[in-house]
Amino acid sequence: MRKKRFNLLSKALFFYLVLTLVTVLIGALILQREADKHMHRILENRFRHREHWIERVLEKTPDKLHRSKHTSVTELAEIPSGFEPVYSDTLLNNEYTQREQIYRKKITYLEVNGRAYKLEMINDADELYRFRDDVFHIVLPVLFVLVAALFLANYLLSGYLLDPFRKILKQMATYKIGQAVPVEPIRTSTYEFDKLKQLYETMRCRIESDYFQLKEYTENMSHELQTPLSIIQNKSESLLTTTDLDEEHMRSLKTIYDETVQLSRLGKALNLITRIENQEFQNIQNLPTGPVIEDHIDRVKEMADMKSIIFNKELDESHSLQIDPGLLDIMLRNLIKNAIRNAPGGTSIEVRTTGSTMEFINEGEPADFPEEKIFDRFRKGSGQHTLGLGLAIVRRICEISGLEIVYRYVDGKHRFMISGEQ
Amino acid sequence: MKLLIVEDKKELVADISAYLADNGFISESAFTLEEARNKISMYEYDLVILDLGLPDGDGLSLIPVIREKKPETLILILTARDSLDAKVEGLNKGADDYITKPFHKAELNARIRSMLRRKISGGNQILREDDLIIDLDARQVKVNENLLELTRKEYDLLLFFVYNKDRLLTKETIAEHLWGDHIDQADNFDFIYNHIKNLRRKLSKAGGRDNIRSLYGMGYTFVT
Repeated sequence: MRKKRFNLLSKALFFYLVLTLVTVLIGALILQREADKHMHRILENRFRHREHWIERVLEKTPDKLHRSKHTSVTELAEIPSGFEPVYSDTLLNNEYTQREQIYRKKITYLEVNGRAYKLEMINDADELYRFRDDVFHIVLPVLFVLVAALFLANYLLSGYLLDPFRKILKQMATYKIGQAVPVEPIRTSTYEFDKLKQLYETMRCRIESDYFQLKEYTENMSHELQTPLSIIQNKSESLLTTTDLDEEHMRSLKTIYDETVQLSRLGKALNLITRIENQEFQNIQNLPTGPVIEDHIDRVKEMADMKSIIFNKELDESHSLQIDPGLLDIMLRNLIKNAIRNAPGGTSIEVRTTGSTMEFINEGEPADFPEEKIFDRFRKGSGQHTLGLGLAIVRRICEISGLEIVYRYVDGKHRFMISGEQ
Repeated sequence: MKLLIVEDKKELVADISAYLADNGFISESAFTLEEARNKISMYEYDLVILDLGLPDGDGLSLIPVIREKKPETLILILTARDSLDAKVEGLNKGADDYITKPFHKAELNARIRSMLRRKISGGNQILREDDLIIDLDARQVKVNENLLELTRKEYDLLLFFVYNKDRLLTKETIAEHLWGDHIDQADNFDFIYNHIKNLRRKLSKAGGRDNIRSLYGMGYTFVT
């Protein structure tokens, strides 16, 4: 399964979001703790004030035990040993607002002039609790604003920041080797992108230089070889015509001659493949295939007749291909040549064009290699002395012309099907 | 008939001129562009065999020079450049025909012959060889006044033999001449045998001599 991919900024955004959430949450917790402490301090101050007041009242009038809604003083025999003030928060009904509010209760003990008192006080803690809640009310919108800002920044920055990066990627994607098209300069003040651009340019120059060297080498090899091959071929041809050689010498000479011709064909075929690969055939037209196929079949008719091979044509007049005329010519020539070579004598070769497909079908023994290898270079059936480049050329032509070629061996028949858009 | 061979490989020039001499052509040679230019300015040639890749420049630049000196000079380009564009360029610049290396000398000879024939307009277009009378315009062959019923390929084959009489034509040379790129060297050439058998049959049926000899199964010679 293909791993899902995200763009860099979205990924960065995700990590920023997680980080922001964690930071804001920790911040909120710290704030809440501070708020709690603050709240406790304020309430404690209020309780202390009341305790002082009650203490002073008890100093003056020890028997006047204050008792109100918020405070109650009770006299005790003695203060329990090791006591600590007790706090607890509770909900009580507020008589003015008629709604339940949070109150804090403190129970403590006092000793005034040798007499022990228990002091119970309650204090309104509602607003302080509200203050604590307000911390969240403040933090949450801030969090939302932050997240929104991050998304907006991501959206805007991905356009602005990553623009040079995208341009570099586009240049890489559309780059075709050997095309001397000047590359549009990309301006960027981002260090990483600038570095990437420089690296890409250096790499491209190196590839181009290697490629041109190789191309020159191949061209020179196949061109410059032709003249010496001409000489060898002509000399052996001249020798062959002299009659004072015995048959054995004649046969050796014929081998030299044959191999020279083969070598020359090989050079030409490889050169042709290189030129196809280099996209030198660019005169793409919408070509009706019918007349071209007819012409090719006509030219090889006698060759086929000699093997008693019949061409069964079913040519759809409207069938056409988007292709360079030179390439169509080479492709048809190779397919027909292949069919005639492999079809047993007395059989028929079917050539069909329908809709958007073109088929060449001939009977014959199955190939002694896997079907998918049929288009490989130098792949040929045993006992065949061809170059083994014809079908490799056909496939390459199909590839660069955007056509699909399929080979199948079904029911004793070799079937080549080429399909493309009409 | 005077020919100029412009080609930098001396071996090849020697080979071509010897072959052409055997076929009744007088040829001179030039190994560089400069030498060719000088010769063209001094003498008149009926046909120039022109290599494109010369040590001091592109042979194509000679075409206007040749045309200026003698417009009816025939130009046959002989080069290792086998791309369609190169052919089109050469022909557009005014060359009359184009042949790529390596080539069969018989093919070169046949091309030269047919170029020369095309050039002669209204003249004698009859080729006589032994008891054969070939009407080049009508593409008809008569033997002892009997018209032969030849297929297109049989006619081409016979003409190829006559142009290259007394020389061994290998099966490859014949196949390439008749079918060009539609045939591979490695293809089975048995059908050439059939073609020749039919041709022989038709010739002898019309009362002609059987001039075609097979040589060790390598090729055929038209003996006179």
